[in-house]
Amino acid sequence: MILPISSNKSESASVCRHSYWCALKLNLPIGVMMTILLSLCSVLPVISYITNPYFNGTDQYRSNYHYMLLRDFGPIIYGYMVLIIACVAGITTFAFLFKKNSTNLYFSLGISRRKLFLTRYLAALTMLLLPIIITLSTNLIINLLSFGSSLALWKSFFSLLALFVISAVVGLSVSCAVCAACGTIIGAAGMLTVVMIAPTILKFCMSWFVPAFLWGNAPYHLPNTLEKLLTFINPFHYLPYTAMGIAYLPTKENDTAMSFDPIPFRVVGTILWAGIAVAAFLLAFHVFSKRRAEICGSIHCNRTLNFIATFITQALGIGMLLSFPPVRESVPLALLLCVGIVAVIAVLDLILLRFLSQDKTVRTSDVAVYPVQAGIYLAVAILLLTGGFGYTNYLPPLDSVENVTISYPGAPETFLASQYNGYTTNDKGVVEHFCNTTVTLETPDELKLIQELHREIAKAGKHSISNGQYAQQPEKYTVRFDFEVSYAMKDGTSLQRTFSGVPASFLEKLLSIDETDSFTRTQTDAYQTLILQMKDETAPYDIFLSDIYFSNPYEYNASDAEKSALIDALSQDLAAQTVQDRYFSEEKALGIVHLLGKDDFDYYYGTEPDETLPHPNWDGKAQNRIFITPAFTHTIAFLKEQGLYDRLSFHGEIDAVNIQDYNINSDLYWGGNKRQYFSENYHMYDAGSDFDITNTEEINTLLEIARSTYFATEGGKILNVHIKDREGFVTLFIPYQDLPGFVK
Amino acid sequence: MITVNNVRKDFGSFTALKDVSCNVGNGSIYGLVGYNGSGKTTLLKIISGVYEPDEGGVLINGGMVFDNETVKRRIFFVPDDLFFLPQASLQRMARFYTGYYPQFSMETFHKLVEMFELSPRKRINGFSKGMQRQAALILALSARPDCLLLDESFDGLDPVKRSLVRQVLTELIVERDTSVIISSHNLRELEDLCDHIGLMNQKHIVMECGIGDVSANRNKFRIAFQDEFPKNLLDGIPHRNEERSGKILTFVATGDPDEITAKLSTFHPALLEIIPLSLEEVFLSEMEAKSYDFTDLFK
Repeated sequence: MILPISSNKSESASVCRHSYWCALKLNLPIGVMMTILLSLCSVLPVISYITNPYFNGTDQYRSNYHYMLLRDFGPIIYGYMVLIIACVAGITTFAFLFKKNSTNLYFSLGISRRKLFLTRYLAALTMLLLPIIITLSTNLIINLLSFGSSLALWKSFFSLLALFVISAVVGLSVSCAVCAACGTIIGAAGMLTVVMIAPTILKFCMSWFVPAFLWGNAPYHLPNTLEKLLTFINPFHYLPYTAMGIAYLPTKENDTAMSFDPIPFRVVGTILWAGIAVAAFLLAFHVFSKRRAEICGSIHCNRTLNFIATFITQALGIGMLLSFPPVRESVPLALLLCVGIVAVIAVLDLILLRFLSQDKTVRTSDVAVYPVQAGIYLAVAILLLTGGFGYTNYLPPLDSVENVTISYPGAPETFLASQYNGYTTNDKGVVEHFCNTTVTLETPDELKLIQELHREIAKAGKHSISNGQYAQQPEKYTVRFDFEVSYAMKDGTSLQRTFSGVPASFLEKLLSIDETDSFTRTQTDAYQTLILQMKDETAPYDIFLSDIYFSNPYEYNASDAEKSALIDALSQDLAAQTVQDRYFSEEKALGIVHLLGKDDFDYYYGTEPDETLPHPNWDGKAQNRIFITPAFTHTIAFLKEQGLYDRLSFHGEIDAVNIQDYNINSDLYWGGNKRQYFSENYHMYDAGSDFDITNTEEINTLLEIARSTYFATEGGKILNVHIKDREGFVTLFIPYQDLPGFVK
Repeated sequence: MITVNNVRKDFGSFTALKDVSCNVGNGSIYGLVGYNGSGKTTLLKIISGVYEPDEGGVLINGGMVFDNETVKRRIFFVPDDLFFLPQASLQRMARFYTGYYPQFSMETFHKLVEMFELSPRKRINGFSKGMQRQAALILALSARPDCLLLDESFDGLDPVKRSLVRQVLTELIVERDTSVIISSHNLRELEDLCDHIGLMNQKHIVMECGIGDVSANRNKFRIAFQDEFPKNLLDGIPHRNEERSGKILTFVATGDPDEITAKLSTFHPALLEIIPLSLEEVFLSEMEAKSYDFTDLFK
């Protein structure tokens, strides 16, 4: 008997209920597993902290925290788990889409696509929300019992609940949308992974892409707005880290709390993410209701998803390629490789997925997306190359600048080691203190000077790093140097620009910083402080006098007053030293005054003279070598007065030398600004074993013109000097223009 | 009443169905016959609402099928490739379907389970292929649908169970006026069971008629002559599948058999016979089955 077909609400409701319960049972194992995992990273750590005998016996935990809903990095682990499990739940709930027989069953059932989606989605969401509610509520009860009720606790509870519910909705919705758009479970899992980590890959790509094309940005330094945007759209970052800021509240007295910067609960961001969650749900709903059953089992994905997946894959490839300095440093090469990556993926797609798969649902015309994607990369590159909407050329008004800090290319030994802004380890495991040295300037004249330099370098534009060893035309020779300029504004904000690769002539202009008041004052202050420390017998340095080869160092064990007098003389001479004398001295140095840190070092001098040259072991040492030139009149006078001037003289014999090229853009030194200023004391060189110049006349000619320090932008050669009856060698520098014919 | 109107279905650049139309009345069993890949399963999936047609549509008792839950609650599709919930027993599957098919009768279910001698509590995945098919049919019949779609559902059934299914189907139609569409390659079976036949070929339904009309205008003639065959013997007689073996000529002719007999008799044959066509012969005739040369195939 055929019944008339009519809509029956109670029948429909009953079918929906049934569909919901069926999906709920399917997701039950996920719910149980999630409850266990979330308990392990939320309930257990909080209980273990509160019941810790150390705190519990004295109720110490109460004076450490106002509340602790989640502990340490718990919010981040918790957030990651919610997102990942939500993705898994989405795949589990809609796994029937990937098999033809199960698709036949579910799509032929007496329930509309929309209701089928809604009931199954809600069932999965129920199984995600229950563990969140259970674990957070448990911790709330523990907190109420241990810390007592407070407004902050309740606020934190509901905020965390909101953040993790949003995470669950986002993860589940994205997962459902991807499942509904894919034909196979492998395809869905792959696409889901790509979509979920897309913001991370985009940020990675942009952190290399932007500096490659935007003049004024260095690797990993994205423009603030872009950085914030890419961080915001990353559910694995924004939501868990926002939770991190509110999950516990240390008391002011608690100095053992996590040193993680507290982030105030970001209401607007959370509301926006709630909007994103709703949008993701609506998207999943739409994609599912439009799902074509016939794509089941096919490698086909919906075009938008294909576009995203291929675009993100390209972004990963481009990011990886641009992370190599030779690629990033050349705009044409970078552009070519960006297009090349797109082409490679297009060819792979065409061959592997379309021709070899023989999938009838795949359209070869889909590859038309690739020119569009290449166009996007090119358009963004052009946008950046043309100044990024004025980003490159922007200069802050000077009246709103408090001070400016710039990277310093000059002589590091003019500072005391304690002033160095960081250190790194070179390829030989030797600590170098000087590569990140910066200088802060603040007077109006200085700010004006820096802004002029900033304007000049911005206008100069990006050029590929020069290959030749010699800068015959310094204005056209690009040195691998990161010129960073950071304006501290009076309103507390800051503005930073980094120009990677600058003309050699610009570097030389930067040396004029040495003549600014702030620079000399900083330098003088440091030495005056040292003098005061000498008087208190707290001086952190021992003083050595030596020839320029450090062949026979003499420890200056005089009275504190005498040592102070020497340092004062040094300080005066350094302050008066001209840029020309410091960086382009026409004469070789007379000797060295070495300030060597007292603590934490192994100084082999004297203990193993036959095995080491008089070089100290540099590991972690605070030390300064000041190369005394004839311009150090006060120092020379003091040493003569003390009868110590002869300590600067070399009395040994040099029996052999060799010559090596000195390339300031050497591939060995990608990372830092280290090669422009040659100084014997902070580079480790491999002189090789072949000291081939033994002719005394030639040796003397070379030694006569060799410098211990020099600003090497115009190129030159290294002179490795071997001292008779000693192991090792000493390295000196010969400027290109001074090189004699027999070594050119 | 199932009405299929000018349905077209494309899979990417491949067209599976083109301008397909047919009607299945209430209480009718419609046999769908065609080559492998002729589009039978696709058509059934469109009728069941699994696929959305790219053109045209399917109406069941006046209601569009695709994504129409009210209509779909009255359709049960038993596909060739069966699916049961993981680890499910017949009992569990019955409970599953009860929620989606308001007309599902547990009473019918229990009667059928008993009739087919299947255990309702054993895992279906442990059943043999034939038993799984029986299980699917039990569930389908228990749903008491207005429209039952069976895709190769008799494959794998033993003769006793086939007979049983036939009887139960007949009872379903008698009691509930259900429209049934069966796709099958077993033409003999369809001949016994169906009242209408649709032949699918080249993405179309090329022939659709009542089972009694299948061979009405198609007859196989066998004719022999003592001497040479007359040159103009078959002129003016629409025919196909002409085969000559010695002095005997066999062919299938379309048209009034009396008129054709009269015309052939004018040549005074030594032998003239009319043989009624079986469904299989009609199928082969309509499909113009190719003749293969099997000589030396396995040499």
